[in-house]
Amino acid sequence: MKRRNFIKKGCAACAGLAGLSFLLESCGSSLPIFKTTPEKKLLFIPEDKFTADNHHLLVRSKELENDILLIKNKNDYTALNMKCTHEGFALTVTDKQIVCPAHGSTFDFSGHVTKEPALRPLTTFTTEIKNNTIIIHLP
Amino acid sequence: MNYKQLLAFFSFFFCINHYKAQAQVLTQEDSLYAGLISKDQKTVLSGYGEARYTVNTKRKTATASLSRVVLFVGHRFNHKISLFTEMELEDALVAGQSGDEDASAKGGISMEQAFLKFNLNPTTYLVAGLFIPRLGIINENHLPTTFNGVDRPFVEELIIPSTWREIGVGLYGTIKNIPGLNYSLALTNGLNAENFTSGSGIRKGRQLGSQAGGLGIGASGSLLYYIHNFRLQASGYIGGSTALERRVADSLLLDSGPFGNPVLLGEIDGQYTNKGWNVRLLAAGISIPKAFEINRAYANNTPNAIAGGYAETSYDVLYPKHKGAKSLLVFGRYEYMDLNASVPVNGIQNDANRQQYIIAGFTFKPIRGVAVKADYVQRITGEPNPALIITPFPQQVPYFKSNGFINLGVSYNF
Repeated sequence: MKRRNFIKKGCAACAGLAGLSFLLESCGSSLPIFKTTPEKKLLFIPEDKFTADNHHLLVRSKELENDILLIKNKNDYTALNMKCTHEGFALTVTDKQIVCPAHGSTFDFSGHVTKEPALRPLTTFTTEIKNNTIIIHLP
Repeated sequence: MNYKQLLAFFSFFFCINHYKAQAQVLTQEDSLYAGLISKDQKTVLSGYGEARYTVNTKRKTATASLSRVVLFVGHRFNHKISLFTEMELEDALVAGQSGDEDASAKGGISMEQAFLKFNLNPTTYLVAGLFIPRLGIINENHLPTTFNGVDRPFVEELIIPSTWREIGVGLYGTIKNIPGLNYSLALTNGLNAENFTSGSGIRKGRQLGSQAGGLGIGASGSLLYYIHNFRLQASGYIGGSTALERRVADSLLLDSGPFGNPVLLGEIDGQYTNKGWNVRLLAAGISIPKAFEINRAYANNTPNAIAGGYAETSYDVLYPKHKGAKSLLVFGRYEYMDLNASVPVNGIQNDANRQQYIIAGFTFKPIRGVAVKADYVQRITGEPNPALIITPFPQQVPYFKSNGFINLGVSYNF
């Protein structure tokens, strides 16, 4: 294959992928990300970061290897480490479940394994609510 | 010796021993305790394996083998950099070894993966080393407790061809504004067309990190999308297959550049999982536009095109009670492939490379991580081309266009 043909076809493929991404963008809304810094192994997230429509929030910090998925339940919050318990790859959140793109493990929103190869549930962090602020306790 | 000399002697003796204590070799535990090693570091051991027993119903013979035992060793240097390695021993004994077990040795040992992973941010990472690019389903997701059937899907062994690992770099991440959409891009060394064969596609052309030669480069990419109960993927590969230095390639009239004598592979697949049901569909195709030139150089009957696909359905009859913690999956799969869908004028068509597989069986998992499997495989092929039969009758091994195989297997993953 000549270099010019490869470049033409490569550019066409990239344009096609970009177009596909644009189309797929209309299929769902992005998960909000809240960036913060731990203070003495505690993360503070204002409750008003959750809306009536959105019960999931990703908490991100430069000090942490992985995001934390914060889930608003009826009366409390669940904080799950977004690190697959199989080989430690980062997890992806969908509307139905938490998935590992690397090897196919899936978890429910309680952190329990629903499909292997992961065998152990996700690490869960303790949470509490004080003065309209969610506090995540890091180990 | 007066008391001053005695004091000097004991002081000297004390200093020597104090110095020796500081210079002593610390074990890793001591070092950790002393805070000399970051508490971030962690080494992990895990692995998987499978054993099988297969009966060939037409040839009236059977094979029993410890198909593979794989040991995974991973090490976390810090929260940004990790090491992943997988070593695989196939068929229990390495062929060619000396000793009183050499006569039975038919296996091999290999590195399946050995790469460093660099986290760029919580959802994006780079890998570098020997790794498995994201192509198909089984290439990455090949643990025996995660698929039905004692055999891996034949389409994914002979067309994709799993597990396909090469030396290179890869970038993996998520598309920011589209939840569930993941991408991968990889650059690896290329293939070796000298080892292509008519009945095994490009499988034997993989270089597998073992002194891969030539300037050939493989570029691959994928989009993996999780939405509702679906997992959808499209991936592609283009790579050079001249694993020779230019001087030799020129003498064989082969292009020797990064994409010389290119191989193009594309696949799409989809999975649906819901309440114990799982449906898998996959289609894959390979194009080798310079198959004529490869055949002219190597006379290995390389085809111009290969195509195939499969469809599988399974149901976990224990799902209503155990929700996957314990499962009994009943499954059926149909596979079709044509390993010489198109041949160049200097190739030889062989209808035996047009194959169908009808597979039915079950997978019992008393717990996640352990699987007991049983299945029946009916293989149906076209008539072998008599022009390709080298060994004459009666020494020729009988070939059955329709043959049944009974497979039993146990596997684990931890």
